[in-house]
Amino acid sequence: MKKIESKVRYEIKGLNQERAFNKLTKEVTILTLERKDKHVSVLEVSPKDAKKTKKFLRNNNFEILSEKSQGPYLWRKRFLSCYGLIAGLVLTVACYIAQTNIIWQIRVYGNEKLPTNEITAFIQENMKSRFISNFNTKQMEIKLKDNFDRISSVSVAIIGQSVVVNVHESLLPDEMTTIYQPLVSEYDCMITSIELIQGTLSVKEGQVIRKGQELVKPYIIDSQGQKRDVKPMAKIEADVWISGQSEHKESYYKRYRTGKKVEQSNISLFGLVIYSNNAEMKFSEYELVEQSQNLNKNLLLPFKINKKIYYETKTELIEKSFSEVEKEKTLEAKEKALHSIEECEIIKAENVTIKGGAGVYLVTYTITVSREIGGV
Amino acid sequence: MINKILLSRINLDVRERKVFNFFDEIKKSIGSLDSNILNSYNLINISGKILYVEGHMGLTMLSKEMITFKVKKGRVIVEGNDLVMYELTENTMKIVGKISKVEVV
Repeated sequence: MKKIESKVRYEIKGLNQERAFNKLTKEVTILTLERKDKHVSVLEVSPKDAKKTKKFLRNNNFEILSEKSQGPYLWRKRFLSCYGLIAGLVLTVACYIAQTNIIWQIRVYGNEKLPTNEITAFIQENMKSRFISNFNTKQMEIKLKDNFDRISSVSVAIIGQSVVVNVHESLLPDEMTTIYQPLVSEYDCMITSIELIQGTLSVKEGQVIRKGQELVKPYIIDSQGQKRDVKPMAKIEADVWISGQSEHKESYYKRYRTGKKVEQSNISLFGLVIYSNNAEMKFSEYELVEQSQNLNKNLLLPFKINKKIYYETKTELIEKSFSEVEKEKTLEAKEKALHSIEECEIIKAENVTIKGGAGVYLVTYTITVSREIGGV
Repeated sequence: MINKILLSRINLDVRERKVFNFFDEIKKSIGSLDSNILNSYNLINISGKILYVEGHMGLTMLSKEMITFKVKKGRVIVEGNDLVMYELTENTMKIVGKISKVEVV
């Protein structure tokens, strides 16, 4: 393989070149010399002679047309001249080496009930430092097992720059972990039958109970007389009363819009009105709607457009006796009651009550259905 | 001890070089000529492509077609095409190119 030599090449222009070259050879070795033109020559010298050659050429009134470095010398020269690049490279390598010894993240796997952040926080608190070399995985495993009752087995490993924690949770019976709530009624009803499965009963058959009242307590008293928590379970059937209501007033004032309206608007900037269009409003009875919004979203200045809309209204006295609308109101109340009944439910009884006084009547339609209100 | 061995090695190298000096060998083989005359310059033409010069006393003309230089008691004219000078030192040079004529005047 041909050796790549380092050279510095000068293209020069001047007179009496031969004489100058003879003088130059007393100081340096000219590697190549070629005459390009009558007054132009190209010579190459080794990098160690470059400085002397350049000085000589200048002192002997030669014009240096070009100067080029070739070979490994040039690469080294270029590389060394890029101090920023070298510094950046060194810094990057140093940072990379330094960061490879640091723990960046903690990953927790296998936990279902134990919160990840609790384990992570515990590890972070118990780490001596973030350096991998200072992290003892065996010790951390023991600490985790000692501090978390729910951990059955745990393995801690360092993979790359992460601490990987594999947790196997212990299986505990629900009784040990869950706090049970009592069984409560969702309806106003009368209990028709009870079949207790688990827990302590708070009600009895034939009892009328209110919505939210306790049905079964979440514990039992065992043969030793000790209280034990259990999930309350029972099949309880009850007659549930579902009702709908409608109201009627024999005389009342009805207000309605006639359809006529008047609009007034203005444009303002920082609260100062710039333009306004105030149409005349002659309504004696009206409803007023006011709107204010930015004129344009993209404008730098916050121009606002403010609108006032006057709707003309009229008030009318409406009079109707209850006997005229009784059927209609009863049907309305029944419809409302039926809305609360589930499909395929058997209606056991229906009942209508009308309460009235001072021209106001309240119709209540009650439907009785049988429902299971316990929880199994 | 080591120094002595190194010194003897260097002396041996010097002797070996003297033994294999091409020009000295040729001069020795023609014993009848005056050695002072033979010490002025040496020219070796290798296949008309390279001319090695030893003992020149300065370049007098340089072009692609002709290179001339001074020697002791004379001048050498080298003619040819695409002539380029290689390794020009104070007393040696290599002329590379298509050398057609070497004349000593």
